[in-house]
Amino acid sequence: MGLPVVEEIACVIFSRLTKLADKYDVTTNLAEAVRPVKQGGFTPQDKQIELTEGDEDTPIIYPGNPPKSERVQTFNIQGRAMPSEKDTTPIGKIINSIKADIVRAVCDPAATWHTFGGNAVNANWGPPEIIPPGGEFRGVTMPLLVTYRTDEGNPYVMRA
Amino acid sequence: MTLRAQIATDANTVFLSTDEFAESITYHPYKFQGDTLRADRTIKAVVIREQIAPLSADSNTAAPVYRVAVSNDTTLGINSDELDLGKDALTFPPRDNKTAVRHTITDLLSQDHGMLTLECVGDGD
Repeated sequence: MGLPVVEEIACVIFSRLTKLADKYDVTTNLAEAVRPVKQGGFTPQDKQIELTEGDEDTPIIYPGNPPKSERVQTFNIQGRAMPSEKDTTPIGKIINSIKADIVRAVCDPAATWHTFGGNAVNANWGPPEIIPPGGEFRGVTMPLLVTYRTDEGNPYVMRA
Repeated sequence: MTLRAQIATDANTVFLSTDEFAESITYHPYKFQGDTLRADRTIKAVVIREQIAPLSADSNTAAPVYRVAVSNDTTLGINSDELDLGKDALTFPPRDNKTAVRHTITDLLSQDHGMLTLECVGDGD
């Protein structure tokens, strides 16, 4: 058996973010994309992107044989800004570039980005949350809400 | 010798002695564009390995937190004037006897004439 459908979606999102860090011709020249392990597994860096899972909505059940359930999973994509103390670039400019590059990477290919390799039926962006000053880093969290369907009793089986 | 100078000397010879409390770690100064390259160097530090904590207030990621006390000195430790928070890094083991990994210096918790207390977060590299 493969991965649960929601994990397949997460893998596609992470792959797109990794591509952004690796080779995209982006203005922000992102450092790396990470998915944290139990103890983090990384050290915060400037222009680092972190993918984590947020909450999932209560599923909607559609009748059928077998019935299918529709869920909306939130993925939180956090971009970090930790520029040099000597950098005179406005922090807002850096954060705006990171936001734009995350959207550009996740929404590629343009026509089918929202299916994440055929695993989802829809996706849309939630309101970005700016990480306020005072902590170890500044940045932005971009919530990505992905709607997907599976067999009601088997989240490994994708349904249209 | 003034008390101020004596305390700074004591910090280096007692508190930061590797025979007493300290260990040798590596400092990686960041080179900002146009600046002269500053070479990595071995310094002495007291590393307090604290518990896992949320990475930020709105994050569901946890990571280990470290407090690192170093001499406020360009040769023996890190001069507060050269420190570049968010870019400079330290390499030290996350636990005793584990392989040393690189940690970004995320915050300057306290400073005086003799010592700097730095914060590093995360599990390295």
